[in-house]
Amino acid sequence: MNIPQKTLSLLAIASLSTFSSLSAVETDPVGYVTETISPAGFNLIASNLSGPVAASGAFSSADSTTATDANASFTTSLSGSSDYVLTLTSGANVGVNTGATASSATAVATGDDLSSLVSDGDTYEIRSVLTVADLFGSDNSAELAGATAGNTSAADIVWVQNDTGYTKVYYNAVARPFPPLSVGWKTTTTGNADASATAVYFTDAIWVQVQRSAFSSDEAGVDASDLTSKGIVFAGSVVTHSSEVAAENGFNFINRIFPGDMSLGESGMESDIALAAAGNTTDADLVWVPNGSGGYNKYYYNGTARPFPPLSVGWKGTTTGNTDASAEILSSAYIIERKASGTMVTSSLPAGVNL
Amino acid sequence: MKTKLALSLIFAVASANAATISFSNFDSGTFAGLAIVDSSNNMLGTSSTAEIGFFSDEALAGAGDFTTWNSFGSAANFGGGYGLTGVYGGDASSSTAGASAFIGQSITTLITSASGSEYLVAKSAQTFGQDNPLFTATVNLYSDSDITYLFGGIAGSAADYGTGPQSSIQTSCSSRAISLRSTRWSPCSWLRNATPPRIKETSLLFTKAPALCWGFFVRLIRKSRS
Repeated sequence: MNIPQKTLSLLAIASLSTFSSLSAVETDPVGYVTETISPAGFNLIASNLSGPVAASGAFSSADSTTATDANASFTTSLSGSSDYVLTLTSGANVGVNTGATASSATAVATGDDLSSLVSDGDTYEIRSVLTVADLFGSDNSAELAGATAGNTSAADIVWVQNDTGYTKVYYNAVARPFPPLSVGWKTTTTGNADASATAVYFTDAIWVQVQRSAFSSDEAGVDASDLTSKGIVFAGSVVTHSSEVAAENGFNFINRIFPGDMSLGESGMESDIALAAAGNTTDADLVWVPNGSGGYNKYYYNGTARPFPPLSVGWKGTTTGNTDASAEILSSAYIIERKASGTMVTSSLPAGVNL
Repeated sequence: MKTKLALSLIFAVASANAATISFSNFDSGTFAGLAIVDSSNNMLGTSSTAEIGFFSDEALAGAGDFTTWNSFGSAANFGGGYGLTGVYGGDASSSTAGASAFIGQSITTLITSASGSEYLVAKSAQTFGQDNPLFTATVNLYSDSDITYLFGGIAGSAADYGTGPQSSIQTSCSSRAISLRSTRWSPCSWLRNATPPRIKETSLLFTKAPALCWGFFVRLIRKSRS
């Protein structure tokens, strides 16, 4: 079955704070989750974890290209080789996120214009972005099927979302003399360039394309008694606040972000998506959840009751009539089929969860 | 990373990219391929491009008029990721959710030489499908047996981009190239082509010039022999 299943193991629940003279860095809960993939198809999964917090504090202001925290030391805290993502953690725009790089000690360059979104005193955190090597091991410790001398016909391929589509990444397990191709992570279109640092943004789901008809009994995450299922363990930090994710017209492959079970009812998604009117889903957004058999269960939120056939207000399945679907669990990665133009959807923590 | 999307969507309308078509002309492992060469049998350089889409009017495309081209996703430069001439590989993505105009159309590869004077149009028997939720396809001019060449497509001389002699296929001159000649001359020997492209958007001088020149040389040769 290919329904993403996960086990959250929090290795460090405590939030530890270390203070320097200029800025504070908090250590979030860290842990690991296990995702399950199936052979002979595309598996929609997500790690539901992120990179650690590299910097946090409060902004005093922001303009179209930078945000300023007089107490920060961005040139030090963001000096690693990672990509970084900035998220507002208080104020009117909690969860808004964008790419970030150090502009100066006290200013961070932002990938989007935050000038109208940041107020004096709004808090933020900046996290490193996980990479393909972070998720699957720099030497492919997850034991995805590698390519042989660049031949990807039987290799597992990781589809990572980018601004225009996908970056397709595979592990080349056997070097090739010409054209030169070394052992390591590569993309399908960039030759021998090292792709291990391909960034996986924390709001994005990924596809793992498995071309094999069955897994091998001796590979990582496979139980010899079931060669149709392979577990992949992801490690990282837990995002402890809600996040804003983009839902554009069409199909959007979304990371649930929260690394534990969360139902449709708990998601609060109905506040942001287009609702059905008396069961008419023509213009309603649909939520597609992998069903474990290579297909999907599709859900919508009915915003207006209908007398006959009876249909109440609430979460419904597209094939299950008036049955309440609010307790259906959102998988680690799911799809929002957005019928209208783009909008932002809040990916919340379940009510009562306080990390 | 989709960092740009996180905020910009608040202000702009965008469309998710789902359907993805991989396109190339070589085997990813052996690197054996069907090299793309121009009408003079020179392998296309790394500034040449390949892109995916379809023609609303394939008859026009066959005559060298590419004005009905509908491009799908981004074009790929030649090089195959290794800076090699004659080969290309890319992934094109765009949404085909709902009633996309691409659905049901033949997946077609349009190759353009670096000079913009020569083209190859290869039509696959595969068609664009609807995202449900993710349409994928692979078009490989080397390994696919269902390719029809609408423009260009004459077998070229053996070409070697580093893996030994490979079969090749030629691009051909188009009317577009001729219209460019007022500003840029690109040698293009369309007189050798089996199906000369239709001449459009060009002056009488450029249209007739090749024939006039050819006639001049024939007369010159005859005169020298006599």
